Amino acid sequence: MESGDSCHAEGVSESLSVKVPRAFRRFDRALVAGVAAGLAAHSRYTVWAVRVAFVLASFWKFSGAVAYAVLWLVLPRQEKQVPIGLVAAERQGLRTVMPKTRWPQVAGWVGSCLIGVGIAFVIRLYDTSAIGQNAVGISLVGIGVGLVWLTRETGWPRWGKAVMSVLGVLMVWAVGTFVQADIWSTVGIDMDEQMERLLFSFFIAGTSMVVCLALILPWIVHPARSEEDKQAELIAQTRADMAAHLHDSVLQTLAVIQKRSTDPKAVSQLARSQEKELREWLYGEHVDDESATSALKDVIAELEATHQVAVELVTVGDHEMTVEIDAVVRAAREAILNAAKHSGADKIDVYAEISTQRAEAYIRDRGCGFEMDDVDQDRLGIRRSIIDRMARYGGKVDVRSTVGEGTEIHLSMPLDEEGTGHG
Amino acid sequence: MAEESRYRVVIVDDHAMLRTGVRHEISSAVDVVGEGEDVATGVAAIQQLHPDVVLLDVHLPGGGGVEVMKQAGLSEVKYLALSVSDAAEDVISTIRAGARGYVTKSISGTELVDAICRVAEGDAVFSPRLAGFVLDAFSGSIEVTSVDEDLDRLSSREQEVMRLIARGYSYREVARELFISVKTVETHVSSVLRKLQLSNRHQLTRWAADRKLV
Repeated sequence: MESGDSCHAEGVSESLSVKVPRAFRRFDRALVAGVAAGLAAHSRYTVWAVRVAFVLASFWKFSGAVAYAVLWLVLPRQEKQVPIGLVAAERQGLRTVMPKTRWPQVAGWVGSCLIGVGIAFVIRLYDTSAIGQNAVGISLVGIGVGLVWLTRETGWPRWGKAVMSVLGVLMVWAVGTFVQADIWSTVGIDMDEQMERLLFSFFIAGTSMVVCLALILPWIVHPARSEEDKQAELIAQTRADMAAHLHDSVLQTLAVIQKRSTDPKAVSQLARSQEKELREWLYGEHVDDESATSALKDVIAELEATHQVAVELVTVGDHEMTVEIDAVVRAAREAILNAAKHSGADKIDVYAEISTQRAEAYIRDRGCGFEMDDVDQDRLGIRRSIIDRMARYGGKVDVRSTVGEGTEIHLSMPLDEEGTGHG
Repeated sequence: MAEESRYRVVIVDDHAMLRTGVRHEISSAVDVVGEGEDVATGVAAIQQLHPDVVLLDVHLPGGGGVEVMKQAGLSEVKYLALSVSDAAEDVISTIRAGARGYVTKSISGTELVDAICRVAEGDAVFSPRLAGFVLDAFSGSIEVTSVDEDLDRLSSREQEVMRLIARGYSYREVARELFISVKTVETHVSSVLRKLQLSNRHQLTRWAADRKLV
């Protein structure tokens, strides 16, 4: 029994590990540039733990800040996947998009900058080396460079970008000027000291060149294309995709419908499944091929096609496939099949709620109903395929049926977080 | 229902075929007094006719159903969103902009009439799908545009009611299941609707600012 189960589990984890996880910068939860948020999502630590780690690491020669800057450059941005139907609707002005307020983020940035400068002041107090003494200047230059880099991120109004770049450049320039003025503040000292100052001045000039390079580095690393180019390409792609899809799906179905126009049941079935499929494609309901929701949808699509019954599915939450969820989906399939065959109802409601702790499904019909005791022992459907299957994985089944009113089957399965972590 | 107290309905949808179909299905029980095919004609029809209920498509040329409700500006007109679009984000936006319910276009004629009457009487119409979206929205798993962190939570009773509706229960069945009256179910559903619509402080301030209250 045990070995059989673990065997099954391995099979599932193998099929799931095909996708290589990549780290992205996540702008949706970003305070600065989404590096910490992205790493948190990637490593499954909490965002704040990662942020604190970066800040703490910065106490040692700014390594945290430098690492952050490098990751900012290297990690690609996670682009938000907008379903093609929504893109099309938006472009035709069929929907209103309310811009998301960015004020919490701005507050986050200001806060981070203040903390950075504060830390620099503390370092200046205790660290007497050249870097320590110039910590404030270095952190200001860092913030300036950061501001200019930020203008590359989309989702900002144009004036915001302009203000940020001007502010960033001014900051870097002010620090440079201040340092230069500091070097030449006293005149008329001996040659050696003048020589030393001249050398330091060269050093400053070199450093500022590095900073200037840093300012334009993102544009070199990820060459920015003009917005219009992107837009045009997107439109072209969208059109091509749209045409291809319509041809493959809707046109084909329409052709079949014309052929079978004498069979109203078949026509409505075809229309219904095509409507579902098109809606899924347009509005991106089909989120993940390996998720509980998509498995349920596939099962329902299959049963609807073979049993001429309408199944209304509502889902809340989702989870990647596990052996437990697989059991729930199979049990649900059996329950829907039973309802379709025996209840006589023309519509079946399926509601699934999936959280990280629990998967639940309710299968309900308003058909003839039955008495549990009257079910023949030889009818294996409900006992073996539903109740026993669920019990094997630690789940339970609750059947409520009233003769003449209908049946509701409630499947409930606890999900073990440890067991699903390997996916 | 007596002949003189029939509800007056305006249909705003950009598909002529669907308008005709819906009109045909419901005109035995309610009076369809006007139609609109985009935001401008919809708003004009609503302002001119003052219907009891507007059947409103979520996606419309000119900015969508949200824009119609914004521009029409008649607080006594009730809106029922009617759509094939099942993008949760847009449905929730439409509800947040003032619609008192959401049904899909595949709904049967009698169910649609029932929903119209319910909305006209000031109740909310939650289809199983909308209940699912709402549960998702309040648990934070779908992104709702410009939602504050302090989005009011649903009480456990309201959550129970939403769950049952998502499971396909009618209001009467929900009432029987929870040993409460249908009126109480309606109260719970309306309070969920209110939480959705007024959970955004920015919108509230904007609403106040628009009316020179602050």
